[in-house]
Amino acid sequence: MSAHRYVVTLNGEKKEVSLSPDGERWAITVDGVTHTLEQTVIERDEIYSLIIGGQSYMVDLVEKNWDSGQFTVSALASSAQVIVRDELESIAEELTGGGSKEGLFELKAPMPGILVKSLVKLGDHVAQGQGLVILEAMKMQNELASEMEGIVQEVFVSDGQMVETGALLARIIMEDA
Amino acid sequence: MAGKITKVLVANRGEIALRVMRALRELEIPSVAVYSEVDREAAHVLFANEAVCIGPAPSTESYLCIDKILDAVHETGADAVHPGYGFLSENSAFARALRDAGIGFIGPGPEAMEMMGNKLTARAAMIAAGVRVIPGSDGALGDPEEALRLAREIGFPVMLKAAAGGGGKGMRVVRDESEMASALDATQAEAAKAFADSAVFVEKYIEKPRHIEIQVLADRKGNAVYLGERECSIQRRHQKVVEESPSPIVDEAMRREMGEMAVMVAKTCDYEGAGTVEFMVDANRDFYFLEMNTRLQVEHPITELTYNVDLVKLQIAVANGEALPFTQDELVPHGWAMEFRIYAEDPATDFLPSTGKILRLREPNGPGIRHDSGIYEKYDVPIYYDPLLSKLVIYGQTRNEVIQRARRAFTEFVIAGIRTNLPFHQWLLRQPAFEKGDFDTHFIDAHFRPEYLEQDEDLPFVALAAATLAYHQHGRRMNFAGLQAFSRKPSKWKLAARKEAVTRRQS
Repeated sequence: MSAHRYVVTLNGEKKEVSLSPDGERWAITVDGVTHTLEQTVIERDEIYSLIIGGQSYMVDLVEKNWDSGQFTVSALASSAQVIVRDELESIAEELTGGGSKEGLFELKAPMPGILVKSLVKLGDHVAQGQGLVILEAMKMQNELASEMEGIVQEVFVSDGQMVETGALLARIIMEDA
Repeated sequence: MAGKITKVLVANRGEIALRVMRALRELEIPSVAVYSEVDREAAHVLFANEAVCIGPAPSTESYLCIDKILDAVHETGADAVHPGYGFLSENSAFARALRDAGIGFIGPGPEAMEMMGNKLTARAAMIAAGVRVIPGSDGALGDPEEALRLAREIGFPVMLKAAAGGGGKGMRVVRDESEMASALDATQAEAAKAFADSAVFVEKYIEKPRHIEIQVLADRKGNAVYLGERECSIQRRHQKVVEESPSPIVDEAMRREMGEMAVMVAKTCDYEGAGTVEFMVDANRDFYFLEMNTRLQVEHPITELTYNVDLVKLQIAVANGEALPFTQDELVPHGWAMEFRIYAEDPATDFLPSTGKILRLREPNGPGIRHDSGIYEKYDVPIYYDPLLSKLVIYGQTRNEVIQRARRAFTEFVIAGIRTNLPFHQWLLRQPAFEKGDFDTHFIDAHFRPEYLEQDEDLPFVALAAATLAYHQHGRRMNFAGLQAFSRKPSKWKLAARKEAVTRRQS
């Protein structure tokens, strides 16, 4: 049987994976090493039991986006983020460029909360690790910091407002960018 | 209130509201939930026999509104209120308003709450009653000479503390005489700046402090007993994270000594119901009164397991005017219990709170497991309240068995969709110092770093394999569905025939 090829990103590392049916099982090859994989579906696209090389694992696909191939997988009392791309898609994406944004830091709300206060204003110079805003959630105030040194190009200023996860709170650019 | 309690309003939310309602259901007493507008789907509302909305999400406009809770009491005909912990549980105005309205309050009287609610009056009353407190000046310090004289009396090291302080601000350790003058200056300046009050007092600095508390129970007939200790030293920013009973450092003689002192504290304020007396314990195992919590504690289940009692049902019995069903001599602890608080906080990012929908919940099970929870799968954790989701309580014959059992339980526990401190507990259970019971209240700050969190070495491969296979199978199904959809397109002659039929009917 023919093998299906994927490029899988895990912990920031890209790996070439090939998957081929092997009777009732699968053969999965990663980094040149092949394992036998037996899968039982407990709930389709949600919960699986896997037996890999004789070891039994219960796995939850907690979050999934079938278009982008992004998954949060829960297993072994922990979880991991995985991105799966078709080999061809992956090559196409490499060629068109991932749209990397160097010299820019965008602070996004890591959780929904109330924006208590912004600690910086437009044009301020900030150091790496310097607090940009205070976001309150679950009775606790959390200072969210800049991941790089630079200039405040944009900052959310409506104090006391409710913000959702992923809302842009501040944008920092490199001094000479 | 006349007669026995027949319906109870639980003025709380989350796991503790459920805990109280479970006891009520065992007693076949109907329960009434109150809830804020964002809590319509909260677990306590789903569990209760009756439920009343008491206003908007912020607790100042709902769970903390005495008037709204009184309205709900009258509307439902409840004849008693259980306050849980937090919210209005130690609010004497609430207890008094209920008393005035002829409604029972399952807890102590407002007088006891008031006496224990203020740290200074509580300290003064305890000194008068002969209870040992942390040695210190009972008023503000004047000049460095006075501070030095008091510090010599108490014995170095000492701690300078802002009278109006809290949360770790305005505090300074002074190790010897030479440091006193400048330390006093700095603390007074800091206190003036932070609290607009430069008053500073001095007390003994407790090295390697442990936080150990005693559960007490008192009835209206003058009986009061203690139910052993709870070791609560595993804390983060003064928030307890793991508790156990018994304490690894308390033996029978110390338990009796602390217990008798706690009972004396309870009697001093005419206490009624379940209460907790908190002590600070130093490296020499000397203990000092800190404060009394006039309510049921979060960590009460570990006492329930080691003493085989139901504290909520006992609270209700006391509120019904019944005598305690046991004497001190009959109370003998068995085995060991530990409570792990499950918070919606991410230990990998300095314990940032996390909210959102719980996409998957798989709870541990089997021998020695009790899970007091306020969540369920598909429940959306709101941002407005305490991050405590649930408490995993483990029981075993020995401390070692409890640790083994807890490690096992955390391999079964899945909460996905939001971040929790489950990985922290897994880390803690592997620390040699924790295993030996050798820790104090500084343990987490001193030992925990996010980079120490570990994952099973098989996780990356298992996650990769599962995701790749699922993605592959999903893609296959989509392709197949696409082909089917294509082949199901009606052919031209079918369309023509249908069109003809319609035309004929119209004519």
